This record gives sequence, structure tokens and C-alpha cells, in this order.
Amino acid sequence: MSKKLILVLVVVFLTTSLLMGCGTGSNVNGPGNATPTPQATEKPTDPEETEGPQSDIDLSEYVELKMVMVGPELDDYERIIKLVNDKLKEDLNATFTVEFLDWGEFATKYPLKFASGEEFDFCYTSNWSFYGDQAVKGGFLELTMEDIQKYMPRTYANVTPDMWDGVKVDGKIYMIPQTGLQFTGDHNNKFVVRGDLLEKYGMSEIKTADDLLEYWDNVLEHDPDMIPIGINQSWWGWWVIASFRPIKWVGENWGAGPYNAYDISDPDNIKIIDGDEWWADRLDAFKLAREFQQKGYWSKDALTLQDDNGVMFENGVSATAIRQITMCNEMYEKVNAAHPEWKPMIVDIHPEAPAPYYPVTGDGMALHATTKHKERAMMVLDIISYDQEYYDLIYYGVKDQDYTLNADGSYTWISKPVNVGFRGMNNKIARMSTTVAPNYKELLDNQVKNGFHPKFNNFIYNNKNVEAIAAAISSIEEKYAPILQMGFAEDVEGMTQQWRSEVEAAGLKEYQDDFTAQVIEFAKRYK
Amino acid sequence: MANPEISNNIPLQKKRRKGVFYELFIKHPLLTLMIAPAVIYVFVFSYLPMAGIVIAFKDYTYTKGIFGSDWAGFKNFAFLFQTGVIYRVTINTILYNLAFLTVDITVQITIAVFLSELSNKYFKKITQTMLLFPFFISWVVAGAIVFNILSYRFGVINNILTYLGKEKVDIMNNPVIWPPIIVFFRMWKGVGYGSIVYLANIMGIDQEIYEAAKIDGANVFQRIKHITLPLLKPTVVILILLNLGNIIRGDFAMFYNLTGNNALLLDVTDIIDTFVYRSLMTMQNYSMSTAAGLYQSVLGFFIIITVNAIIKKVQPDYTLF
Repeated sequence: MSKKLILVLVVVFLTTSLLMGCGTGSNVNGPGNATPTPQATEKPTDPEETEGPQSDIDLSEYVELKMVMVGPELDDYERIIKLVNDKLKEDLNATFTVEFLDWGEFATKYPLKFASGEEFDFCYTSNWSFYGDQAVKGGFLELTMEDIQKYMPRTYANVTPDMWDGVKVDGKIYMIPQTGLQFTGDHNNKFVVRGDLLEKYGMSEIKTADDLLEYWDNVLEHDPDMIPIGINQSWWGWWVIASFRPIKWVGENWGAGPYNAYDISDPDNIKIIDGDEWWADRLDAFKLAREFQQKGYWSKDALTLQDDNGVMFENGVSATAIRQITMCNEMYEKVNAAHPEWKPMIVDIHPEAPAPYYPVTGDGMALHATTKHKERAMMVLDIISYDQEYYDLIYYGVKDQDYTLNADGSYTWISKPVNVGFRGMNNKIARMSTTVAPNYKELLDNQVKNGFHPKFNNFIYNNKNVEAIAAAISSIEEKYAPILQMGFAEDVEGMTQQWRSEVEAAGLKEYQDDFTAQVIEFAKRYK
Repeated sequence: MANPEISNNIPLQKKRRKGVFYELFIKHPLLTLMIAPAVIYVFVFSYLPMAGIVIAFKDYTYTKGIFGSDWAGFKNFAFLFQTGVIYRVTINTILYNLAFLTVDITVQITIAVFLSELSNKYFKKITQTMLLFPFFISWVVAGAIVFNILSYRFGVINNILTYLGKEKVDIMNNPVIWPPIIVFFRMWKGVGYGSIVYLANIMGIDQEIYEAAKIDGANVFQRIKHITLPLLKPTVVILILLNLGNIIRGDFAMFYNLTGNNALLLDVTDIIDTFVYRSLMTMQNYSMSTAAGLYQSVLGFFIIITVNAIIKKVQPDYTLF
């Protein structure tokens, strides 16, 4: 082959590979509401009390399973999975490997895993990672109660019938929900702030919304190089705004629909908030967002920033992180380990706010519809989810090497936190770390005190009848929501009106009617 | 004598047209075989997947598969026309592509002519390499570069302005200046690669023509105007025709990454592809995405057929087919 030909081939190869790389431009940041909750307050059902898998199951054939997980590959995955597999090989004659889908590619790759018919056995799933969608499309294997009882006795003992009901799609179970205690962020987010800055500004603590605003004003005045709170398009200012406004239409019987809200306390007479009342409330919020934006609480680049709220806080670019309580603690532990001089602290500016529990479908595991080893996959999932030995190994690493176990059942990292543990399996048997924020337990107890289970959590809307409208509305929403919720609209009222008239012209009424019909059906069935 | 010749000619010509490939194959078997990879490539990646178009007319579910899913008629196209946005984004897409076409061709030809007239070999090579380099950067990286130049907080431009004691300017959120920015960066990225085609064409022009012109006393500009440009015309027309097939397709990666998906700029930067992305990204509906793709293909197909027909009337030698 002549030199020139080789050169040409190399150029062609490089060009194609580069062009292929151009295709993926989306950047999806991990949703902020899902994270393992170390939780030692509730006594788990002891797995030892329940009988192990029945002995008549044939384990003679060795099987290799594959799991699909969301999020970046865990730092200690390679080391830990080896230890887990050694045990699994002995106990169940099976091993498994994990494919991680990083946040940037998760939204596109995850559905493709199913669409392409790739072979894998079980995977992470949740309401925000296409659970309902894939269940309807036939991506997951239906789990029957008999199978669960037979192959997943520990899971069977820990997941309540209520929870199984909650994950049903068209009356069928496709997900194994996790059982750890979790709360939804939404209107109930907490903040992580910098103690060193508070001291610098002569502030003692942050207890109310006004305190927090004072802190931000101080940041603007004394540290002009910092952003008070970092937000970007995927961390729309919405959650920040929601924290500063009286909470409307939130409660056990309240649920949000498309540009409306429902009160389903009386299934025969469902109350609907929509039209002027709903939009007036939004307009109020958008005005506040505009005010915050004008003051400079977040960057002028917020609409194009790729770094999310947490990354900016960790890097010292911003002075506040916002997320739900367990994520706040995670952030606290991370920052406290890296920058103890920042004296991070978790603050709760509305300790009286009702705290909705996280939906059962918020995190869980599912079996792939085409798995060839259904039984073994179920058994492996069962043992790694609820066997304390396995669980400790997966979530905390090697005892006395990565962590020490304290007498009260909590654990302490020996050198640095070990990054292990899968999403979707944060269960009752999780342990509490001793490096948690000093007020974490207190805050968590307070959450439990204010906690309620929104009935609506179990409602899964099927937009099959109005897909075209849903798509049209989605494109309008993506256009206006970021601008208004992040306060970048100069004419807030005008744009809100524009948004409203556009969605209404796109067929919002039909969409809402379809939604309402399903809500009514749900409310009646649920009762 | 003339009559039998004509009558003989007609069947001959017909025969030749039919057997042109066959004859070529018999004459130069190895040379003809060389197009096999291209044919296979197009067949495998363009013709085979075409069957998948049926998804656009179906309620696609995995369990039933591509051909087993239920028919849905034109339901999947409804979302495109639901709000009327499609007309605006289609016009945006076409206008952007026309701007790209004009700017790209002008700049690329200019660069190619300049390069061909340069006599210093090293300067020429270095210039060409530098011009080609941006082509190998993905739009994601290019987007980061643009962000770092234009950003309000960290941008180069604003840092210079601050240094000079001037007020910062908010470029990222200003819709007015974005169309030129997009056209410029697209030009910047493609100019090196695009000019290669023209440069190769210029190099292929018979040097004797230039020498003859020189002897007749033509200066550089006259030579360019009267020899280079007219001889480039067929290539330009064919390249325009090839590009017209894609005029209804936007470069999603470019628009998404350059603007950072900034909602404030949507009025001027929204193209079909970003609109479809916004509509369907949360829905994971393959049928509707296919429908959008089919809409683009069909429109593009009609545009290219029409333009080709027009050119056939005006300049039959320059047509694609």
C-alpha cells in the first residue's frame, strides 16, 4: 500500500469517527431527588427471620448476569464487584457485571438499550427514567407475586403490599421499589451554605427565608466573584423560587397535572385548579424569579451554563447548594471532607413545611423483558438488596479497611468516603454514617414529623390519546419555562400570557380533559 | 446515404445506454469493482434502513417489533402541525442553510483561489493545515470554545472589556447577533475542508490555459476572473445541488451546542431538528421522531427534484441526474 493511500484511509477513518462523535450534544444532569438515604431509624425486617430461597431451585448452571445502572461508574466499582462476585459465585453460582450510563448519555442511551434488544438481565428504573414508558412498551419483565415470593423472599418480606400496588402499571408489577426513607425535594428543598462566609459577614445562623436572602446579599456585596446560588437550565430557578413562596396545593390529596392541580380527597367530586387561578400563582412565582435574577442571585449565563448547582458549590463558584434533605447531607459530607475550612452546614428555612415522601416508583430495579435467567437474576437482586453482608460490602466497602462498624450500627469511614453502592437499592437495612451533618438526624426527624404520602404518587398518566398535543405542549414549555422560571424575561406578564395562549391553542383543554378522566378513574380505584 | 445511417444509429444508441455499465465492466473489470465499497455502503446504510420508515405510520412497541406494530395512519405527523411552529422552523432551517451555502461557497472559493495563487510552499501548507483544523473539532468542543469567548462572567470578550474599563456586554442572551455568530462559526469550521474540493479543481485546470493568458498579458485578477472562476462553475453547481438535498435538515449538534440550548434565543435559532428534540425528548416516541425525519426527507427530495429539473432546462450539462 502506498503511503498516500494509507494517509487517505487514516483521514477518512478519523473524519468518520469524529463526525460520529458530533451527534451527542445533550447534557442531562442527574435529577436531584434520588440518592441513597442512610437510615438507621427504622428497624428493618431481619432477613434471617425470613426463609432463604427454596432449596428446590436448580443452581447447577453457572450464569453471568448483566446490570444496567444510571450515573457515572462508581470509583470503587472494580474492586468491590470482584468481592461481591466471589461471594455470589459461592452462594448462587452466579456473577454480574454492571454497565453504567453516565448522566450525559443516560436519557438517550437508556431507552436505546431496550429498543436495540441488547442483552442484559436487570436494570435501574424510576419514574424519571422511563419506568411507565418502558413498562407500557414492553421493556420490562412482569413480576408475579408467586415468583417474588419464591425467588426473592427477603424482598417479599420487606416491600409492603402498598408499595407493590404503587408500582403497578396497568395492574402489573414491573419494578422492585426500594424501601429506604426518602423525601421529595420540590417545595421542600434544604440548602447547604458556607459557615466560613457566615462568620465573615457576622451572621450567626440561617433560620428563615429572610436570613438566606441576607446571606446572598452579603455574598453579592463582599464576594462579588462568587454567585450566591448557581442554577442552570436543568436546575431551573424553579426550586429556588418554590422555597420562598407559600406552598399552594400541596398535601396528601393534592396532585399536579398539566397546567392545573387536583384535589382528590372526594373521588366523586374532584376539585380542579386551572385557568386564571393556576396561572396567577405561576405569574407570582415568575415575578419573584425576575426579582432574584435582577438582584444577581444567579449568573447572567445561567441559561447556557453546563455546570449544575452542586458542581458550582463544590468548586467554590457559588455560595449555596439546594437539594432535598438526603442529597444535602451527601453534599455536606463531600464538601466537609474536601474543604473542612468552609464549615458547610445544612439549613432548613421552612421547618414547618409539609414533607412529601418520595414516590415508590422514584427508585427501583427491574428485570429486562428478554432476560434468559429470570430466576437467577431475581435471586441475585434479592440477596444484594437485603442481605446485610452483601449490602454492607456494596454500600460501604470492606469492613475494617474502608469503614468501621460502631456499636450502634452506624459506620465510620476510615480514610475517605468510598464511592460504592448502586442507585435503586437504598433499602431499609442501610446504615447511618457518623460523618453526617451534626443536625442531619434532627432535620430528618422533623421531616418524618411533617411527612405525608401523596396519594398522587401512585398515579401514572398514560398520554397515548393525546401524544401529539403532549409533544406540542412540551416544545412550548421548553421554550418559555426556563426563561420565566429563571427570571430572564423582561416582560414577565406578557410572556406568561403568551405561554398560556400558546398552550391553550395547542389543545391544552383536550390534554387536561384526558388527564382529568384518568385522575378520576384513579381516585375511584384508589379509594 | 444519410437515411440508413440515421436508422442504424437509433438502435445502437439505445443499446449503448442500456449496456453502458456492462461494457465498462467488461473493459475495465478491476476499475469498475472499485466503486463496490461505495455501493455497498450506500445500500447498507441508506437503502436497507429505509424499510424502517414504516415506523412513522405505526404505533411502535418493542414487543411487536417494527413490522408487527399496529398501523396508526398519519397520527404521528400530527404533533408537527399542532401549533404551526413547524412552518416557522422550516423557514428558519431553509434560511440558515441558504446563508450557510452562500457564505460557505464564497469564502471557500476565495480561500481556494488564494491558496492556489500562493507560491511559497511552506506558507501554503501551514495555512491550509490551520484552516482545516477546526473541521476536526466536534460541535460540543466548538460550543465550549464559543461559550468561553462570549460568556458574560468568564468570556474573553468581556474580560477584555473589563480590562479596558468598559461595561460588560451580555452576548449570550442577545438574539439579534446570533444568526451571524452561527453562520460565522459554521464557516470557520468548514472552510478548510470545503476549500479542498475547489483547490483540487483549480489544480486540475490545464496550466497551458494560464500560460497562454499570461503571454496575452492577463494579470492575476484577470486570470482568476476569466479562467479559474468560469471553470469552477460546474463544480459549484453540483455542490449546490448536493447541498440542496439537505436544505431542510438542520445541523442539530451545531445549533444545540453553539447556543447552549438557550431558550432566550429560540426565536432566531429554532430549526426543525431542535424543535423536534424539544417536543419529543421527554416522550421517547420513535414513531413521531421518524415522522419528523420523513417530513424532512420528503421535502428535501422534492426540492432537489425541482431544482434539478430547472437546471436541466437552463444548463443541461450541470445536472445531477
